[in-house]
Amino acid sequence: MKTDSFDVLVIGGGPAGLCACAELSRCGIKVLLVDEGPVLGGQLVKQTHKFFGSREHYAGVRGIEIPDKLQEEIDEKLITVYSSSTVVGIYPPNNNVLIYRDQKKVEEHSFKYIIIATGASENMILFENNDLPGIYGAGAVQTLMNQYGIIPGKNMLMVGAGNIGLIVSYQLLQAGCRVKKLIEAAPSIGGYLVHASKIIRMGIPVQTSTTILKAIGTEKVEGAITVKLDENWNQIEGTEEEIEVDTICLSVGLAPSYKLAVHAGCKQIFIRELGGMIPWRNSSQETSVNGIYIAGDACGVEEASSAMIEGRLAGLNIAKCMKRLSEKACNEKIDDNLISLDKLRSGPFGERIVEGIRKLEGKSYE
Amino acid sequence: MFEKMDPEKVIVCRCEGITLADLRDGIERLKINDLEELKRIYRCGMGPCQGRTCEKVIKQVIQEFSNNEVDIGSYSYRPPLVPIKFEELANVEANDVT
Repeated sequence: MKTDSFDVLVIGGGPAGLCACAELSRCGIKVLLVDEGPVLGGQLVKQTHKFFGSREHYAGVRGIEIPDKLQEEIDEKLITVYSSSTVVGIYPPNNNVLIYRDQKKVEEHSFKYIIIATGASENMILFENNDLPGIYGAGAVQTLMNQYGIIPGKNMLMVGAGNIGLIVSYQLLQAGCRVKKLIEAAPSIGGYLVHASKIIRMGIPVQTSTTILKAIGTEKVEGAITVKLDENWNQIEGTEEEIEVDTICLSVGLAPSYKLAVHAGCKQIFIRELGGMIPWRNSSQETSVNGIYIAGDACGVEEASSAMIEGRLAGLNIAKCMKRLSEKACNEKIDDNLISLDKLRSGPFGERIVEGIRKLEGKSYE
Repeated sequence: MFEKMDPEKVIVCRCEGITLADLRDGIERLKINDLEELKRIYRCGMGPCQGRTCEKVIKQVIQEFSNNEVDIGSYSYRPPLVPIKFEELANVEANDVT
């Protein structure tokens, strides 16, 4: 086994992972960062829209520009990046780690500290002919369009009116596609008003309490049938509507990706508000396993801004444990980040998360 | 929630090609309402994605077709996280000499 010249392993180079690296390198800590993608940034690399909020949370900056800004914070001498690589297993009790480097060779390492910042994966929903070509997850549409410049289709049905559904609809319009309709199963639009208003101003019909029943087509999508839902989410007879589209885009939520935490033996807990089963963690972002931290969507689906702060918190808490910074200096920075996180979650959209965190902190993992 | 759909045409696990009709049969006729057991019979969640896409929807299907409130459980997540070749695993030590 490799004797490690790294102090910390960070898994995932998205907003949480990069911020963790920034704080660690600022304290002189050597980091190995493993990321699946060819370029760092995680989902930020496809977010062409501007962020909002306050300046410290990159308001007014486009998502795609943030990875560069974060990397400027990281001392290159202290960080080794394995891109296009995957951590395929964490083995207790010594946190031995297998890394599939460049998708061709396997390396074994061991780490005292690991930060899991693996993000989330897209949910799918069930409907007839859901395997027809022309049905995409919203993430895939963003990758095709915003990263590779490929338009997925001409006439779209967007399923899901959360922030991602709203933003991707707008981006599709910018790319010259026609979004024929946006449907949402819940009785109201889930995303922010600013995003929703933009869509509605552009003349896209938004139908709430509506879901997709089936995709029409033999070789590829040629249309879709939608149906209205009553207050108990039951389909209402006779409300089926056919719509002619060549692409169906699903934006129906995200689920935390935390399988590596389970490998490592981290205890899980069910908290609906944070996306269902998640690894237990404390306010230092540490899991039930000593030295293993988790940050960002992997421990509860939220936003890039909060993922960044959680990443910083994980990094700072490790620096504190390693005594690389005075306890006072560490605590001050940690408190600043905790206040910042509270501020982010203080709006009406944060209520669910705050309730989830409250439940999490009130429960032990046993 | 699925009553207006043809269950033969709804794919639940796309890696293994398991339909809603398959799982419904298992749940209603064979009285299986446990995620692991369903997996052992139908291989749902055992393809390359290892349940990443289908675990949540399979749970939803079990909830929909089993009448009582049951503990569905979760998949056990084991290494490797993504498919890797035995050859590459066997060469771990050799790689590390560098």
